[in-house]
Amino acid sequence: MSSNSHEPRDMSVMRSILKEMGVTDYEPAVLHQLMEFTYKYITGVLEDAKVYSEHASKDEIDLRDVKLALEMRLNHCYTLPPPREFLLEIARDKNSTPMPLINERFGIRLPPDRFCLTATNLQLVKKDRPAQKELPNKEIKIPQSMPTLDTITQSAVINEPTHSFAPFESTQNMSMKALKRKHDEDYDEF
Amino acid sequence: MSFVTEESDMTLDCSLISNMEDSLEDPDVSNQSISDKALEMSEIPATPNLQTFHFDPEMFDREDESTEEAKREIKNVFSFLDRKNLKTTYSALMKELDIPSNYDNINSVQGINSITDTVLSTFEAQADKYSSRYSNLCQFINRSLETHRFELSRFLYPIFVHFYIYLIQEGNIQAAKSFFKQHYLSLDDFYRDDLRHLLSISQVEHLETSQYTLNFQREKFSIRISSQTEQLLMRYLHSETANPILNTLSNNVSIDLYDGPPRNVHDVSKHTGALMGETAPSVNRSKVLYGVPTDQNFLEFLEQEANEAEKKKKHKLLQNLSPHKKNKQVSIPNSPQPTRIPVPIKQEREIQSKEPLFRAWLQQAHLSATELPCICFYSFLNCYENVISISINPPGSLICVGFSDSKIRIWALTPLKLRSLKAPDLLADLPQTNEDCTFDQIIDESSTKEVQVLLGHTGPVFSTCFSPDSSLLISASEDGTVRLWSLHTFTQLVCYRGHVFPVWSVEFSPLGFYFASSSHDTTLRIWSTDQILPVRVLAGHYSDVDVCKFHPNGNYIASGSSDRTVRLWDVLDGKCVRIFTGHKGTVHTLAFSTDGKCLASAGRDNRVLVWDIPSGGMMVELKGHAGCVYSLAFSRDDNILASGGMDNCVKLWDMRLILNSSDSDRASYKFVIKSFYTKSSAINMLSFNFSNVLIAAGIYTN
Repeated sequence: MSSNSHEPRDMSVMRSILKEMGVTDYEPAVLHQLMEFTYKYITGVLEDAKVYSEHASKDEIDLRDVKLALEMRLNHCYTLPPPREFLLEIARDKNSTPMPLINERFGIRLPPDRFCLTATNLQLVKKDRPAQKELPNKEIKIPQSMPTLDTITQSAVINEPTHSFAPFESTQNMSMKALKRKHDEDYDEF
Repeated sequence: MSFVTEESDMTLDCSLISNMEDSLEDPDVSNQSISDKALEMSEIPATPNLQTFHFDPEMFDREDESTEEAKREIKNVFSFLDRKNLKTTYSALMKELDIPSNYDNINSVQGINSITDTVLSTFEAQADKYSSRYSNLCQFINRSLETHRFELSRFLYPIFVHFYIYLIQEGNIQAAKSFFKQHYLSLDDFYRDDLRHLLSISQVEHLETSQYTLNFQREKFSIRISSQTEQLLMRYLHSETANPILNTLSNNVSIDLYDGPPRNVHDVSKHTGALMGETAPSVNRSKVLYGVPTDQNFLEFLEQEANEAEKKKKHKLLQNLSPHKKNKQVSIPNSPQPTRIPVPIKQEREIQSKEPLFRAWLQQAHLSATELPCICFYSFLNCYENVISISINPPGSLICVGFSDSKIRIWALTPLKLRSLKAPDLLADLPQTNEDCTFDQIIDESSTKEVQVLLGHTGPVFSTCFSPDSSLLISASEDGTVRLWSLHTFTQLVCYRGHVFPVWSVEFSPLGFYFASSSHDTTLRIWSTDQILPVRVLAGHYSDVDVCKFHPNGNYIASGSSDRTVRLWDVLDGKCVRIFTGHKGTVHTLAFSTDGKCLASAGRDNRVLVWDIPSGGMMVELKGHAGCVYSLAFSRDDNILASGGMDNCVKLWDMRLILNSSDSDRASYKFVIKSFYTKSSAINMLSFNFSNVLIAAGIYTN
């Protein structure tokens, strides 16, 4: 892998870093991947630093902003596993409880439904009602007891065909009401 | 036979390589030469193999620059003191550095120059304190009697690491580097990965972000030596005053003494290599219930078969059954109570579904050094760099592959393709009782597929495992989750979150219901499928836990780690009952013998080690592989151990001979029966199916 004279400076820097760490044999794509990583990392840090400097109502990013951005970043990435003593402590706590007894049940033994991914993927789709569209035109005719949106949805769920369940659609606007089960259906003891 | 997936040109190719006489192997020659080399190496512990253990000289190159820089810095300080006439500060500084001096000679440029040199040399002398002590220790060890030398040489590694850390802590980076450069050759070859990591640490801040140095600073390195050797060492250390070695030994090294003569080079090197040193045998004394109770259902099945054979007067079949009956009827010593670990009661359907397996057991091929198994090799084409993990279900009918793009694919290896359940409304029409509705009725015949893709993970899938009844699949990924999949509907059932860091390995308990996962966070966790929190957390490893494997009786679990140890844990109380040290590299794979007595482990150091669980000692060390070993499998009758790895080779080892030979004989025997080479596929997975056919799988690389 001979170094190219047209190679960008960052690339040769990366090459020498690898060399310094004792990595001599690697695919060329490794360099590109690392360049990508450094670019993403540095822009990420600088963007964070900009937010902090704006928060402190400063005009320019200074060293302290960057340091803060780095520290905040370190908290959730490039972290080490928890210290051994801490893990031993957790293990001691956990392992002092006897193995849980097993309920007599049939079928596959799964956690309570709310922890499973077995529920049907549902979404409540609201079709436009022709009556609603006409409402603005007939302002005078609005009766006092016009149902609010809430009551419309509730009644719709129960018996009206204007709303339908469309399975397997994006879960973004998922109606949580339709999915949520009562907790007393569960038989867990957490 | 070859399968093609829908989306890619990836193919799964199956070819039989059993009895491949034209393979390149000559096991006798290769084995001989490797063991010879190993002997050469081990006889000279203080001069390791230079070819493999070499650091680029450029790594130390910037030394001169930093000397200049240090000089400039010191000079600036003194010029400043001189300019501002800070006499008290100056004398305080000199006092701290222990340099006798008066203020007058600083007044000229030459004065400043000379004082700078003096200060610099003082710093160097301080750094030299470690370097010279270390060389003295090396000399002392080399000059000592041969009987003590090997045991004493165990002290070099921890002392080397601690001295390097001290120098970094004192901010003397340059001295640390030169110390490293001067002395790294005194250490054993297998520490090179650690040393490379150590060399990358060049700031005080790095010490806090490296698990490796934190381990050394917080924990004690353990060394086992005879009391005679210890006396010798202490006499030497006390002859020198204020010895930093003594300090290190008392703070960071735990010495396990034993009575008796010092061990020879073979015995010492057999157990060294682990990150935090050798385990004391006293740790491995606790009782382990290693027996595997006979499956009650199998006994019932045998009884039933025997009755039927008698009725039909099939004497041949009866004869076939009798050895099984004799073997199985005796109660297995040292086996745990069946209720020791709570297990759900088996349902009738589960017992019925086991019948084909029992039949396969009866027809199992008998293996020995002369009767070799058939090997069936599945090679994956056009997916180099994508396939990460391969697993197979115990009967060998399904193969599951974890990909780096977070997909999981399952292939059926039998003509019975992958079939899923009928739609809920169709299921509702079926009869409700067990007697009226067979399993075939609930299966949708039109849904047959050769491959199923499971989507759900958000990172590379490092490991997958089938449940013992092949109805569930468990998978582990870089995203820190463990997911449970149904193989009836091919959908995800549960996502278990507990590890925050990548999960390297998962394994279903042979009892079903429980599974274990091991992770970068240095813990293993044992889960039951019906709880989203783990039921046991097993902590104690110093580094990533790369592999976990349940004991065949389901009461214990073994783990292999990057700290180069293998541990055995009791599932009941989460205690570590065995620590096996002796590996010189990361442990990649583990396998239990079917009788539960032996544990085999292998990994980056190209060696397969077999451990005796009852005594807690090493049974034998099998050398011969020329690359990482990725997979191990015991045959169903425990007569053969198969290993395969990076060197594109499946090796078969004679377990019968290993078990029947005494400790002293083992060094002279050659245990390898045969090696089978593939063209260009590393072996990722090995498994014996119930009829003792060895199934192997690997990725073809070109």
